[in-house]
Amino acid sequence: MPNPSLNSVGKRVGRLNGPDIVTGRTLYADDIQLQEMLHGRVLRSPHAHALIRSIDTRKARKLPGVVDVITAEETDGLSILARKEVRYQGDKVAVVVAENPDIALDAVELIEVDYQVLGSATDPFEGIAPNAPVAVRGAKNEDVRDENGKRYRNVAARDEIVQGDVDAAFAKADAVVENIYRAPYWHQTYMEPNSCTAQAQPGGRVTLWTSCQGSFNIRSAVADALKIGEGRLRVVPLEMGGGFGAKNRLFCEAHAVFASIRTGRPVKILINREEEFLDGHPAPGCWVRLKTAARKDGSITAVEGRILWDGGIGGRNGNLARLVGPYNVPNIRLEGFGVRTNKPTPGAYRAPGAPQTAMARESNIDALAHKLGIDPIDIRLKNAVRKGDRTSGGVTLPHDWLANTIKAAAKEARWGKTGLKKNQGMGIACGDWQNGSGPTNAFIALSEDGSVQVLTGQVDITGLHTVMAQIVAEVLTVPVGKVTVQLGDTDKVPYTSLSAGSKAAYSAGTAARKAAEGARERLLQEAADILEAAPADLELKGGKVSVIGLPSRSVTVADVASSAMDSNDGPVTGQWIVGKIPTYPSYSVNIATVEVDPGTGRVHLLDLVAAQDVGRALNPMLVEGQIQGGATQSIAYGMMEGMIYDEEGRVRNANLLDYAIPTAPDMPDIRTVLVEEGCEHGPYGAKGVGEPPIIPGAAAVANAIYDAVGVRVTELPMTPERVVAALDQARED
Amino acid sequence: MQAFEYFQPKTVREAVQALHKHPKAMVLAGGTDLLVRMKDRVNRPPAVVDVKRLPRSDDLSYAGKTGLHIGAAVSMRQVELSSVAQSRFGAIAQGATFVGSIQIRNRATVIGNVCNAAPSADTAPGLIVHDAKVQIAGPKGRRTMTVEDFMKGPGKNDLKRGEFVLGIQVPAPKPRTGSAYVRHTPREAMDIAVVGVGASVTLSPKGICTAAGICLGAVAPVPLRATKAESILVGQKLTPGKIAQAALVASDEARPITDVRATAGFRREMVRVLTERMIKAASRAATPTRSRRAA
Repeated sequence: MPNPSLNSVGKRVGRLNGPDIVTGRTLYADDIQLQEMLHGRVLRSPHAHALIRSIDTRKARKLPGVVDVITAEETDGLSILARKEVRYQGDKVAVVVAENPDIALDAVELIEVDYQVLGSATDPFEGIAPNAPVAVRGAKNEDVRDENGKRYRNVAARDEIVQGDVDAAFAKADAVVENIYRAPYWHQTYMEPNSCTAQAQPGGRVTLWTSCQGSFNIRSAVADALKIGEGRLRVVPLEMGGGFGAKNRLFCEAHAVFASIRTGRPVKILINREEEFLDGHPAPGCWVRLKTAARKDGSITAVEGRILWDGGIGGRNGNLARLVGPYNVPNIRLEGFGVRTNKPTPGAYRAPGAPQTAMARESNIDALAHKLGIDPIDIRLKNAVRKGDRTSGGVTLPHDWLANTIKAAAKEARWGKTGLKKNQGMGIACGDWQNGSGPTNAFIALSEDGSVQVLTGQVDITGLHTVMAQIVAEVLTVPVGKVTVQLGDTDKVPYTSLSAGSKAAYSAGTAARKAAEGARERLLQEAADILEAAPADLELKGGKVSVIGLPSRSVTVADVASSAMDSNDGPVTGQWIVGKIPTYPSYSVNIATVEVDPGTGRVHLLDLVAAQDVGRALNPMLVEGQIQGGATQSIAYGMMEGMIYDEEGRVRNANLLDYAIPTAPDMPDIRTVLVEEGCEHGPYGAKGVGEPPIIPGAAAVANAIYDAVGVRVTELPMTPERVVAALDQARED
Repeated sequence: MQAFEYFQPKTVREAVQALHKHPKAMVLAGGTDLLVRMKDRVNRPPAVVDVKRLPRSDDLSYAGKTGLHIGAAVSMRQVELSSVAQSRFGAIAQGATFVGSIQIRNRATVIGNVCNAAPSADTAPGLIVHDAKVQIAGPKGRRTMTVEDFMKGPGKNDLKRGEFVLGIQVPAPKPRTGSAYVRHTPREAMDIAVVGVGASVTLSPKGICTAAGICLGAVAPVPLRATKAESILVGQKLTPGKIAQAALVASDEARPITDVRATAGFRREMVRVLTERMIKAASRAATPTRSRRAA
């Protein structure tokens, strides 16, 4: 609910850059056009795993319009192109630089590569088998063994959580549920495939324009990849057409910079949708065996299991504690593997690892509730982390945030009170997430007309700059329309971290507030001279500074700003650098209502209630949009999304036709509920809101399917075919 | 996209000449398949012949004697919104409704859908159960053949050098004929049929089925007519048992493959489920409204 004492914060302010975006005026990375610009295109491995016997670039080099062909041999020991081994379909083998994109593509087709195809592993469960193919030759793996003492293959990382006496807890349990869950690689499918343009300058510096979630991260990554100093690079971030975590990392930026240095001309590399699928940074899939125990009263006593994260060539491990989640469980024995597979190393996708683990955890809890005859809401309330409890993130909770969010969702969905028809059902699932913070910054300067210019290094991914403008407007008591927010590049602002981890508005919002408070102080000081009063006797209200109790003695913000230009202390400014700020977890709860067609297995989502504990909504419209977007992504993972690999390790659905994401008719109007109980550290009580919405949706649908037709689908996505198979299985049993 | 020569003939003769002169030329109507493939470098035609400016190419008309005429440039959206298509050729209108999005359907053509010859073409089962014929123009004059025979395999049609499709003619249905089409897809729109089923039935005044058509999409290299299932219905009263029996036979007749969208087994099962539903829908559409109300 909006705070009545606030004028701008908490209001439904439309995105300041919205009109430009929807009318096509916004400049995106691929809009960068420079004189003499060349175009790079990448030759990629058609095989999931192979050795390169030879590369013949002669024909490509002879094609008129081709300026450069770069293979590993030309990179002087850098590892930006495959040298001897390609490790996944889409692995980069060569870059062609040409006068236009068509010539570059023609030349890519003229490069001849002789491959010796090797065995590949694309499934983490099959990939750890002692006799599985080695995914990456010479990679260092953990020595982990099966029950027969045979060493698992491709285990790049292992971790465990052991707490309490798990065996005793299972022995004493009144109900035990054990299931195996699977989830596939999951692409972020943002609208804008990555594009970047690099321009080497005569002095040796290079400017890089790119679509990214953090210009400084890209700068470090390019510097690392090319073994050059960060100071040689200027990274200019542009408006993003979606990133969801993927654009934390490099696509072809290092290649564009390298090619521009070699050719002395600007080089643009645009990757297409297929390349996004083959060589992007999707979320990892996983294989989970999860066993959960409870007593008659519904208290969860033990969690035991193993998760195999599909870690791509990096064998990246994922989160393990999320298999326990936001519940108090005394006895835990969990083991997690990061498994090397012949896929690109997974990246971040909005609450990384949380939707996959929530699917397993929340399905098991739901099954326990049904076994024990307890309402699925009640079992969650019974075990939810409460005020005074310490979370797995090491925070002691000051409120019953999760329980209150569960209750708010249940109330909105009229849980237990709706008249469901045959084949209809309702399911609930919960998620938790603790946002990150800083480093970030805000620099404020006032113009003579009282308008306010804000500069920040924080990339705007979902309305951050609008929220910063609201905060600055609030502090300086000017209309939001008087505030503009500019994104600074790496040459113009200090180091700024990624817009990721639900931390942008939390951290840069704090920077904006503190910087605006500094500007306000300076404004009052300057006004004190004009009004011949002590700053302590002045108040700032409605864009005017006046003497308290004497409203006629006042001066406008514009007049103060204008007169300050000539004053001894100079223009009215404010700035703030955030390092780190403490954070709290926030909670999201989804209740899905579905109807299942038992003939075709089609699941129709009739209704979705998405409640979230947001602290305070700085802009409810933007927060609701975040929740609806995140919930849609989770539902989609639940029902249709996922990358499919064939026996040879090739992606079968590297396009947006075969890789299904929902269309508007697939989604109901998601009903959002904002639970606003404040948070002591965030700006105006806000918590990070970006990631929690994506966590529980898939699991809520799984639980609703069970409620509707009595079968539990444990593999994502829960396609019609899998629903029909589960129904057939239930009939046989 | 690579450079190509572009022709926009104003007469059938000019079109035939252009196509004959450039054997590798491709015909452009709505472009929703062709342009995407050209941009993706799947098709690299040296020449493109646009048939949208041919006389009466956008003609969609119905006459009691000759039936429904669909010109070469008639869009999916025209057919979808046509009241005569909706009332007399339900399976065709419904097939058009499933294609792409409204934006796509405003460009995409029915003829293009047929010429493209995808086994999953959404308008094909409806056209086939209505015994539609393609009218072909070419260097040797004109010829006609059924849509069923015209579609030869994935991406393959019966057109010879210099030929193109001028239009489709669908005979006027007999009284008390109804038809319907549905498809199974994982999402509501912008998708390709995992299985599509079109059915038509003609009933006698006493409710006996005198003719039946069942055509299955995406379960064979071409839209497949389930003739054995059809013959089970003809001469019979369409009881739930009879319909279920025909649906089971249709699923036997299907020759599905396993691909990225579904397994063969699931496709077969969907043929059974959807055929049953479509025979029922067609038979409801064939039943005059008054007697349906009475029932």
